Amino acid sequence: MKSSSRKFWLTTHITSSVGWIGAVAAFIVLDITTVTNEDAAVLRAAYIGMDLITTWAIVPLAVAAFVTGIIISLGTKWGLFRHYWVIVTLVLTVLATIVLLIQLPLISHRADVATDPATTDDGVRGLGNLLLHSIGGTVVLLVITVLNVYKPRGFTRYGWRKQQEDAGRIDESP
Amino acid sequence: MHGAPGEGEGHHMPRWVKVLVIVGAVVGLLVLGLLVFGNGEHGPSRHFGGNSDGSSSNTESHTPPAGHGAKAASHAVGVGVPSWP
Repeated sequence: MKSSSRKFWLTTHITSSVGWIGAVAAFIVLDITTVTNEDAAVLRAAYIGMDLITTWAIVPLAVAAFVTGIIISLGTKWGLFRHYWVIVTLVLTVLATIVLLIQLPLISHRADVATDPATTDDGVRGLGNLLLHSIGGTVVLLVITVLNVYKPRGFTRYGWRKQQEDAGRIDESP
Repeated sequence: MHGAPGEGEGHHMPRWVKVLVIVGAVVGLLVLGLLVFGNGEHGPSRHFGGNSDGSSSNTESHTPPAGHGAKAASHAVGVGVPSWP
């Protein structure tokens, strides 16, 4: 991959990944509000906000981070299966995205219930929260960020073999 | 922070990967335990139609939306939600 394209994809990847964490942070603020606040109007607004943030920020950013991550890894020396930190990052990203997509209908459903005029204030107060998921998701995203920054050493068997092949090729060259 | 990939290292699984796998396995088992022994009190399905505390009776008649909640919300309550694509 050319240097200019690598920088473009890297910029997109960093932006979407960090944006993903930021969007989840905003989600957690609203999630905590649903736990700590008793005002039905505030709760209704919080559930609507959670749905909007998830649909229009978290999900698109998660998909963008996943796709750009694969593009970068395949287009650079790091590869997709050569280093353990890349594989772990990939697995964690996929898991986080799957859990997110599983929660999507629930979040949307709560927003619908919260905005339905027929729903009583007590009904809104009983909708519950997703704190465990959102905080767990944040921890996973932070682990991914740490791995991407520190890039801890560790070749996979495939990566080790490819590295030996590359080294042999260099030795053979005049 | 790190050198070029592959400087003087073998292909043995590093300790940090083993630790991460063990932590992941423990968390996975905990979640599995919640699913199996939590009487279905974990997972999205518990939120649709459940009424364990009796306080959310009005949520029972709702089914998961076909579209997105926020769009319906803007019409139902008049909240200023922009109609994004």
